[in-house]
Amino acid sequence: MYTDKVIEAEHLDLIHDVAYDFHGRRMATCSSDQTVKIWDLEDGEWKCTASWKTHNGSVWRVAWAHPEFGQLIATCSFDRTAAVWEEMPGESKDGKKSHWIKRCSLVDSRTSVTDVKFAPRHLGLQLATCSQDGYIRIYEAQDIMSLGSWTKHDDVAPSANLSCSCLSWSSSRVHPPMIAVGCYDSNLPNQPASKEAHVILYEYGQGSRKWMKVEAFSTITETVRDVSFAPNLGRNYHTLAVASKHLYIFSIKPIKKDSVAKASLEVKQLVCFEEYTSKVWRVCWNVTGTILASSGEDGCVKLWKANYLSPWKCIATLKGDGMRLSSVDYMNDHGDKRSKSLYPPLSKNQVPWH
Amino acid sequence: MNSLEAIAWSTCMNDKFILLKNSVRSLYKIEPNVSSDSLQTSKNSGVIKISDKGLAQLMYTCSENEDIRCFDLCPRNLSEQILAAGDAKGKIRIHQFSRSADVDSIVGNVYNVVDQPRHCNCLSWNRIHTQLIATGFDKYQKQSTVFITDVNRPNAKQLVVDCDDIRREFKGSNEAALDVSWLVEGGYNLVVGYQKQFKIFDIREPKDPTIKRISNSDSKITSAVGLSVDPLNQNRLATFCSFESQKGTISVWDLRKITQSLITLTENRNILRISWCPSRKGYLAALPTHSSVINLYDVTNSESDEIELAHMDRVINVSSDQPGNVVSFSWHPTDKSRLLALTDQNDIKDISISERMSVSWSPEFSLSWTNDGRIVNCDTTFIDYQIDSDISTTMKARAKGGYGCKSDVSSYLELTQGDSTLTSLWSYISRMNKTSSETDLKSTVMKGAHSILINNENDCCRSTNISISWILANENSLSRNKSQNSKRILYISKERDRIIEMCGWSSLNERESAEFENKLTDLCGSNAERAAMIAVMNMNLNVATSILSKSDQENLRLLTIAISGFSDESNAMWKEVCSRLSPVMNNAHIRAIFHFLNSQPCPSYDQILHSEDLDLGDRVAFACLHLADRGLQNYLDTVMNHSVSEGNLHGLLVSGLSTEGLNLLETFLEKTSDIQTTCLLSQMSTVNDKRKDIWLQEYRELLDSWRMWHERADLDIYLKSAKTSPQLFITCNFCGKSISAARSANTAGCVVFAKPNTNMNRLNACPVPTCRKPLPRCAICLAHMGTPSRLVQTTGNTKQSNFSDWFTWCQRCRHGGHSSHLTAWFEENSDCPVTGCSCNCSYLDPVRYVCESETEY
Repeated sequence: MYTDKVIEAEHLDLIHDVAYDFHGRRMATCSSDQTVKIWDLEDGEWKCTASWKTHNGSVWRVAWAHPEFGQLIATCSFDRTAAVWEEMPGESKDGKKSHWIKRCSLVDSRTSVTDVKFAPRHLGLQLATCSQDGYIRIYEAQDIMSLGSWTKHDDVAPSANLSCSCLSWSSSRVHPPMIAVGCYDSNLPNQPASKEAHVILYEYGQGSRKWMKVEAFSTITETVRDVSFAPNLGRNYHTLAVASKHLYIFSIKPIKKDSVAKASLEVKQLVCFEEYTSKVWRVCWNVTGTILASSGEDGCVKLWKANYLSPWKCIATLKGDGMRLSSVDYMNDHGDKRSKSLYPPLSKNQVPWH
Repeated sequence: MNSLEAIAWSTCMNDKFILLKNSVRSLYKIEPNVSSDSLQTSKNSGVIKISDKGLAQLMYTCSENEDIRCFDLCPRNLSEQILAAGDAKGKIRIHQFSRSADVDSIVGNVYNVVDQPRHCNCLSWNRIHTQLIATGFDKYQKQSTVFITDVNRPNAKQLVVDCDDIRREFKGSNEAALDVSWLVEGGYNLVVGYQKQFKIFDIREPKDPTIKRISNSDSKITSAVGLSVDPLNQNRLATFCSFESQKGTISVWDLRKITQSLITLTENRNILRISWCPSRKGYLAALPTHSSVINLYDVTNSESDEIELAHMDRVINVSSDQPGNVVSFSWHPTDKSRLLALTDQNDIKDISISERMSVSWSPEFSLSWTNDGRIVNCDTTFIDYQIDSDISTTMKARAKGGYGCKSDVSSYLELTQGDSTLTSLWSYISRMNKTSSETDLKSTVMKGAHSILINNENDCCRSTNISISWILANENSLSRNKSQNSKRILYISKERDRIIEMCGWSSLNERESAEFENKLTDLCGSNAERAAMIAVMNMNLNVATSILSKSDQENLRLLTIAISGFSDESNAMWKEVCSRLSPVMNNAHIRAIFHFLNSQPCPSYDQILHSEDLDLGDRVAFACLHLADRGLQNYLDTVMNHSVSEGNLHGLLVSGLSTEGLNLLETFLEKTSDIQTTCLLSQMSTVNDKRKDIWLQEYRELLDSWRMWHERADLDIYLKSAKTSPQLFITCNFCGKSISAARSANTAGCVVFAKPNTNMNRLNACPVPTCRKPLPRCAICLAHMGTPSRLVQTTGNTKQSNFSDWFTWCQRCRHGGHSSHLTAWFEENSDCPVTGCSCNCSYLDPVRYVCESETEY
């Protein structure tokens, strides 16, 4: 039967991020109350198995490493650091099953660290952070057995005037490693907004061993709040979702050139949902990169899907509070539960499903 | 100066708010979830729409002949809302919002605070000492401008209020007081904003009430035209000013170190009002003048106190649909991030600011997002059929059914039901598998029609053309050689025969045999049209009519008349009717039959060859029969290129699993995201291409993320990929020889190294024949390894030594023993069983998290 589970997170302040691990059996949440909580699925119920203070400021994002590197998470915070945590088995003081210890603190940033992401597994244990001062930093654990030492591989700044808000690794095995960065203008409003591109792509040059800017999306000049590469799944192009004023989806296809010179990218804007009247906060792909979930200012989660027969469209709108008609009532009214969505009619300001 | 227009939530009733406009005081009650129908019916009875699902019902309205300049709501918890209003003449009145008897004795009181009539600019009711109201007035000569009134003394005219030692007038402050507010803590401190400074007074200090003063000289930016005290942080105060130079500057102060503002925010317009959110920490709303939006700032403070940072959180667009500037707003006292805004077009908007929701999607289709301190967990497969039919769920279901790791390909037909392309592809592959038993599946499928035909570079295999006449119904052999007209030229060669066979058609030689009809019916099942078409294309009209006449559909039976009407002589009328009717024939097979019959004397088969409705196999087989070498080659080229660019899996028939075929799979993958089928098909290819490995890796990783390790292992075994060399060796501690090596010499099997003695009675603990020393002891039973564990009895399965007798050890402390003993131990303990070892062995296994709720499935 169709049910939403609503879990009281018991964070003392705003929750900024929620992340599933590789298998989808664990969740991590982070909050302005400076803590991170770990949730484990036990007998179909989510239980908080660890909760600890991680930073001296709001924790913006949390990310899981691939399980082959151990139970590792990375956090980033307003306190200008990012940290890597490893789960240590054994009872902790507060009766939780495990405790997490800080393996490393990445202190290179002079401002708030706004995002942290682990690289896809085939690139080894690497992570990238981006910060308000506009820098992207890429770190690598030299030895995956000693997680205390991370060496900074590279740092790059997309623009002198912009702050970075979010980043995403492409999961492609086919192409050189690629990172997309979303930016925002940290100057307060009503100052002339810069017309620079707010989404920038970096590619790792195998020859130069440096991260190089390969593309800037000049069409996006508004604050970007989230970027996300779709799982690559062996396709020969990247798909990137961008949450800004509107929701954008791009396809990025490297064009093979015979010359050894820099391969160029063919960037195509697949879609821009302008009818998304409110701002988009977050975007997230499903495991195959075929359905995109987005959350927006209207307090709803929307699901978008496309296939080769039809273009991208919204296939479901989920109320943020998880409250909706029970499907039993719905079945009585309409009989066929699969034929329509299960939600009450939306008000006029919201985009209806199709 | 215009009269005051303001809106405010009631302080004692959560669902009511007051509206002040043109000296009319109104009280509204919010009726949630009222349909818009009732709005229509009650249009004139004071109901206004304030949000998408809320209406406000007018409860009370009262017009006073006074010019209200400022007001504040009584913080007392009464059954009705009461309000203190200051007017242009300097009087303060207490009003209530009901017609019933007075809820409090102070209602109706009028206080003459100042001697000379002057504007009352601001008014603030003390939240703790609810009898006190602070008021700020315009400047008049050298008189004071800030007064405190004790409402319990209606006619108080005296300067000093007695017992609490509270003075009602602050001397020496003769600038116009523009805004006044009580600080939260204690209720004794009053902050007053002036044009160029703000001051904080302590009303308990009779002699020098000014405790803190920020003036223009003290700090670079001082602003106090309006102020707001943070109700959630007693030390935080925000002010704004209206100087030309500092127009629209908002400063946030920490009252503990007042010398400098913590944060300065710059709006480029004058500001009408600022207000801290009472329900969310650090939210400051600022309303600029002549603006349709309210700007919301998030003032975060870090614990380290080194930096405070404010950033524009968002812009609240109040009147998105209608024009209108916001003139007033009010935060809801308890509901989270909810505010009410009033525009100059008399619109009232009830706005809830939703939290930024973070979204995450687990590989198992469960979507989680955060909302208002909660995590909402939603299983997306139940939402919509479109999600349920998504390739991600489809692939998982197919993988569970064993898709890709069975040698009998025909079992995939059931798994791929619902996807006709895949079904026909697998039936083609399974057909190939059966017919070419002599060769490996891989090599057969790999060869497509294109590569069969074109052996060498661009050299199409030569064929012989033969001319064949129709086999007509009920005709004797005499007519066969009568007319040249009745003949068609067909082409045969060994290669063509092979392709025809691949397409499922029977060979041309069989067309005259008696079994021809049965074969066709077997091939096409209930699809009589297709069987008839194949018969016609094999020049056998007799069988075609026979098949159609046996059909249970009447219109098909009628068709036999039309087909038998075809004669060898060109019959102009028949042909004309035929070509006229062909567009209205719905069935592509029927259309192809008539097109083929009609295309004499100048055969042009384009319509058949490029009919998308026909199965590609049928079209290719047809081309093999009827096209000359050059034409056939061109046709196959076209078909292949087209299928590759379309990602049409049927095209594999032509391309085979050559490089072209992999290109085709790549397009297919891009279109459908079906990494599973792509991976499985590409693995049948013998072409050396790195894409094969990438697809395999991606698919294996997908299976891993679904925790379908068994399926992945089955796949690896089936594909013979991912060969792993032995990873562990155990050597004897004494002689250094490998235990497994020594044993495998004797017993020749896998997992030998852990296999104990099969003879339970013989306690032969020595593994290595060379040194005759025993293995270490089990930490639990203290028997030597290699001797059977006595805890669990073996149950008949002699193929494999009992798993419980294997030995295992902790990777960290290197203590171990019989696995059954250790399992039993760790059920109750988490520590190592060895004396003095503090290792928490059982917690070292991260896999347990992934496996724990495995039983769900």
